[in-house]
Amino acid sequence: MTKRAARLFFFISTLVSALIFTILTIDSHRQFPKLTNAAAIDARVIAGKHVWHRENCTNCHTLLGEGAYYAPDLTKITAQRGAPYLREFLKDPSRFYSEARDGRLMPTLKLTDQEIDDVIAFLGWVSRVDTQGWPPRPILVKGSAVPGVATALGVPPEAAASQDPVELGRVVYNATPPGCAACHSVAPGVNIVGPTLAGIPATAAARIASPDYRGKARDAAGYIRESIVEPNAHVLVGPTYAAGGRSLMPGDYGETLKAEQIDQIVAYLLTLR
Amino acid sequence: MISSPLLVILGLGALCASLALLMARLQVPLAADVFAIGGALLGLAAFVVTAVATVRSARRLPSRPDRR
Repeated sequence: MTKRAARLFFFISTLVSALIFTILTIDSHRQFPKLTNAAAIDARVIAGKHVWHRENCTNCHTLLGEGAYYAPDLTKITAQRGAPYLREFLKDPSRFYSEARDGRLMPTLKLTDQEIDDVIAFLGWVSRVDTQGWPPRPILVKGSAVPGVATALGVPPEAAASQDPVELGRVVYNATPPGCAACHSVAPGVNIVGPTLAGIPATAAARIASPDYRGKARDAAGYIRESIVEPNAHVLVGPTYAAGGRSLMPGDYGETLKAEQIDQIVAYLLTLR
Repeated sequence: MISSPLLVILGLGALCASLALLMARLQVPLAADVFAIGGALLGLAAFVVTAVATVRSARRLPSRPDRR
């Protein structure tokens, strides 16, 4: 190749590259409103963002990978925990975490109910931003070193060893979403955010037989299914289980989980005798 | 002066990098990976070619009179 031809090749390839970069940049900017769910940014989301900045939440938490790494990432927190849980948590985090027990403490921010709703609206908007699959796994802290929590949160989800519904249910249970293991241990007596599910078949049978039971289940499998799909059917009393007569468990598993996944989780939980 | 091989390597490297991004946008991961690795290797080649050319030209420089 002559010097002139090499120079021509360099200029043409540089020009083509610049053209491709420009087109891709324009294409990216064109997609931003859709990817960032810009149409859903309303006054509450904006107010929540102001609360987020005022309280310096980013000094401990990350959103979309930005912030400090002292506390869990909150990019998908509304999908993982649900608004009722977050509302109660923000009112008094010490009910959920103890410095002595967990080695960390989220400060009580003394937010008003309106500010809490605004922050949740803001976090809800963030959770609907298309992050192209990031984070690849949830960055939760609670339950990461708790007995009976098979998933060391932060480890990629494992594959099922077989197609047995119990094994598939165990994998779904430990995967996030739905994040069952983040709140429920399967070790006896270990209550994290939600009650332990060790011995849940016997516990479920006892609850159904109790005169206080308000649900419609007739057996343990039905009770577990009801608790997943309709957590407010029968609400357990506990400092971190419910508030105002409503369960803090996310109420949308009936929509976000497939029917067979619910069947598999039920099959798995029925083995926890 | 930039040598002809270096001009070609730089041109190919720029093409590979931009095509890798384009393939990623078009959701062709294998092609994107191939172009990205190709671009990286061409970048490495450009570094080596530049280093060799620099050493060669340094050897061709006349000795400084005050060092005799």
